[in-house]
Amino acid sequence: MNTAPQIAAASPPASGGAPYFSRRGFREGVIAVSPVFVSLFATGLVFGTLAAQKGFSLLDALAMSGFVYGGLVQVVTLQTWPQEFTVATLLTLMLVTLTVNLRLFLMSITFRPWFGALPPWQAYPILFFITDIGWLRAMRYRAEGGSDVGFFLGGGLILHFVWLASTAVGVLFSNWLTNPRAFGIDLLLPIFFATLLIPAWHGLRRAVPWVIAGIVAVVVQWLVPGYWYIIAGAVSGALAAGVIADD
Amino acid sequence: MTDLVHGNVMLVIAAMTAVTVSLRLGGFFLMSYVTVTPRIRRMLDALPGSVIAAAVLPVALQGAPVAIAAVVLAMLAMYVSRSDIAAIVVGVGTAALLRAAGLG
Repeated sequence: MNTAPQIAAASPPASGGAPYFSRRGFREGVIAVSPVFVSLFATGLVFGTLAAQKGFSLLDALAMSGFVYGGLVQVVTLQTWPQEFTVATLLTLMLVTLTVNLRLFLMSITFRPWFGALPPWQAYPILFFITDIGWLRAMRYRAEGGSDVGFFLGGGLILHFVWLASTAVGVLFSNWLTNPRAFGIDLLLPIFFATLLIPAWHGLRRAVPWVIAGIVAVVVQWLVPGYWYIIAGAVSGALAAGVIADD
Repeated sequence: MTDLVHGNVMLVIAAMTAVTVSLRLGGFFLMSYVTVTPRIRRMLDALPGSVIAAAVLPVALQGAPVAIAAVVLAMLAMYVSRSDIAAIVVGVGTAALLRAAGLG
């Protein structure tokens, strides 16, 4: 992979054609996300381990990984997991989920130009598999002119499988991984994100919204507790791009 | 306050699932009611990079200097090699090494 020329990880371009499915695209999608398998597996181990320590059964942990399906939100909610459940704690956990995962909403928006022509019964189930990594890789593929939905689905399904498998192993061997920080695993997501800015680089002018997004995020994180900074920064960047005139 | 069943993990998971699924499907759904003008297209184009920058920069600054070094070296590795896996190995490896050396 990575023979890909450095085109924006960003834009679903006008060049992208009508959506279709192919086995080849599915395979390519699997291969495209494979660089993260090891670190993703390690993250799943961390979650499984933490979940077991909080008293989750194997089934509990698998249900959370399978349905909630988000490394960051799962680890964050575990850290604030209450001993007693009340309506208030339930609402708090839902609010945490909302703020941590709001970025998924933005990612969902960016699939409209690509999946918009699919029948809804196909588009919506596929959108369930949106993850940071799968989305980033799919956007890069789309920017390179691809329109094979199999590419996104292949990546999405294999990531889901790796996530479930690593969760199970983490629960079953919950005494094994005691200090994930020592292996740098806590920085996996920021590192993967940051490296994807490189192929997305399209000159300084196109990067202005990113700079604005970063600065706003830093300021908001400093002022407001929680994960609002991601959405505040991202929306600011997009708004800036809307205001900046095209050449 | 009503007490829910003690330790009813599944109920909480169901509630969290409802939230994440509506987010995953909601953006796509909403955009069916929006006409994509050139301006909105520019905003959509800038969105992925903006999400990345907003998610990474605060984490990197907070985890200084280990996180900054890891992120910068990973980006450098990506620039040189154009390989995601090399970049991730360099980034995570940098963090592990620096921490082993007693930093951060």
